[in-house]
Amino acid sequence: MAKIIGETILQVENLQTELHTNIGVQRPVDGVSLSLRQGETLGIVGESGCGKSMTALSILGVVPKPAAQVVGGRVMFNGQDLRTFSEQQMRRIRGGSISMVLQDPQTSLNPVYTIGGQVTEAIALHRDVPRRSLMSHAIDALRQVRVAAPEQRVKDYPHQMSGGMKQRVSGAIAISCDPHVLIADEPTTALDVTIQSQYLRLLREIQEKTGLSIIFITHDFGIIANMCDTVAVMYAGRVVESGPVRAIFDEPRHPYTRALLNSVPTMDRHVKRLYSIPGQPPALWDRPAGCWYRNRCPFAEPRCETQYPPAIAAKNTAGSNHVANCWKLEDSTWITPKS
Amino acid sequence: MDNTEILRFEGVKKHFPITKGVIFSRQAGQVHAVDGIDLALAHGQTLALVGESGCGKTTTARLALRLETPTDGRVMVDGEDVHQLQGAALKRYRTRVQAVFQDPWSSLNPRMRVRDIVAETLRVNFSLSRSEIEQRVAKVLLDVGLKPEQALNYPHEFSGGQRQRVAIASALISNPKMLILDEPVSALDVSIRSQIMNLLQDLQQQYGMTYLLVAHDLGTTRYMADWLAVMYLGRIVEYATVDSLFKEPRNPYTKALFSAALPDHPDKRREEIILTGEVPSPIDPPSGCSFHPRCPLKAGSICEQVEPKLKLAPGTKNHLVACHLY
Repeated sequence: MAKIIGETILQVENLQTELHTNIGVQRPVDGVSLSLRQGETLGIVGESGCGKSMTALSILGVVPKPAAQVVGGRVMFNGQDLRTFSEQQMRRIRGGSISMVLQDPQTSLNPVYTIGGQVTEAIALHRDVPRRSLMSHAIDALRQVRVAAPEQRVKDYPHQMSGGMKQRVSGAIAISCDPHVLIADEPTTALDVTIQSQYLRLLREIQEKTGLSIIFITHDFGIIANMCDTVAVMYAGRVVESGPVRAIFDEPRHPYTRALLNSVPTMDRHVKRLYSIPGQPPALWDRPAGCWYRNRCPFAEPRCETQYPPAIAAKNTAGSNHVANCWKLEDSTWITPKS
Repeated sequence: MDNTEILRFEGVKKHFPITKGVIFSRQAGQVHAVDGIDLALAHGQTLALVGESGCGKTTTARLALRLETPTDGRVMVDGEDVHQLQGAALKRYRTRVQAVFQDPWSSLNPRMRVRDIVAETLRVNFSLSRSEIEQRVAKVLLDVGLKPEQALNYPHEFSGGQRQRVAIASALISNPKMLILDEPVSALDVSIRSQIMNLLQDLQQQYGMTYLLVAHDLGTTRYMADWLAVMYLGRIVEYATVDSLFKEPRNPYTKALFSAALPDHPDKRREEIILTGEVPSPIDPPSGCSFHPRCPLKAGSICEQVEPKLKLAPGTKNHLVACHLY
């Protein structure tokens, strides 16, 4: 399985999103930077509330307005900053060059339109296809995601399909306009394991064929291991560690990354006692001074209480791509201990 | 920990009728949710039921909780048929068998204080004084890692992990012998999951409880369970100790299920057994072995005609498998 990885296609720099609530202005996304190359899969991993979905919505400019608003940073796509685009220009990007698959196909498909109608809608909006041949393009898209007998299935409604099939239909809509980037927000969480593995394999095949870049949002390190080339670990609205997938698994530098890896039970070996991180992630309005993880961190030092650590490069085989926001990295040999 | 049996299923079936028509409704078919299950579980052990959605694992758990009546067969707890219990014996059963469900957002009554949620079992089943109840509540809250002061709070004031702790406390209050855990951690966040799993393990030791665990995550079952029963379309297709099952799964379905699990390292690639299609409908399950239409290792026409029974796999002491290959 040879993947060809090309130039940087999407570069997110210091993205900031604010949320206006009745207890003041919060920052669910607070200075997130990400980089995605052509044909590459980037995994964003973190717990619920860490801002991973909000980051995806901010990239596409579809945060729930007016409560939420992207207030800072740049989203460079093919050399242009999407944040300077007008709403009309963005409508062409969304679903066209950058598309998205959501977690629950039950809610992302419209129950009162046929499958065919929903796939053709996307094609009609973004591609220059004569009306007569819209349906045949939709059937092609469904065939690409291996929906059996797509000629008949286009007449079906979502409720006539199983969960796995519906998620394939969402996938068909997302890839029907030959996007450059696909943002997949926990697309397999609602699916059974065997169906999940079918779906992940399908995504990999489509990527090999089309050179699609994928941002995969998940809380599951198994999916990261299975799908991703690079990883960004998020905590409380910020990326705390990012790097190539093997470096993250073998030499995690941020204590949070190691703790997460150690707290997941595996079926491959018996673990006597799982590590568990004490406490819970800080609420948006209750982030501590200094490092936001320090209250749960066994390695916290006095300076962690006052200064948020900058991104420091891990000096290892992964080179400058592996960075973590932890003071411990000032010691270049630092690797978080196993437990 | 003694080795006597606490739970036994004998040929248990649960079929749900499907009706058609509004006024003159008639039965149009049956969902074979649980279709003939035999199993036994000893005191102090943990048995995990695994399988994909719709395989009948939750219905099995609900049968043990007396929330469903079996269409056929018996469910025995401590030698008594659960569904024949009445009066004092029924009350006793209800204090001895308790449950923790998946979603602590819907399993706790939002209008009740934690104190009242936790104490409900005591108030219904025992006649205790107020101060006795308060003492017991304070003790279980401490046992599950909450503060006794939090007894006056309402569920919405807690995070997901804390709510699950409240749900566990309300199950523990009556000193149960057995807990039915239906996906107790799958609604929780990664870092909270391990807290709750570790808590459940500690409590099992402390209270000497037996667990019947329903889970779809294989890592969770490997960590929590002693025994594993793999279910497919309402039947148990493999039943063995966790060690034996993860070392060498025998049933082709178990093999496929395990191979679909995600790896724990990017360099690890499982040899994937690709299953075609999806789980057939339990309304009209396939003849013979219900897995035969998808089975990559079919033994022949016998699979289509004869339902395989659970039997000892060759060369093992307690590894049961239902497959014509063995």
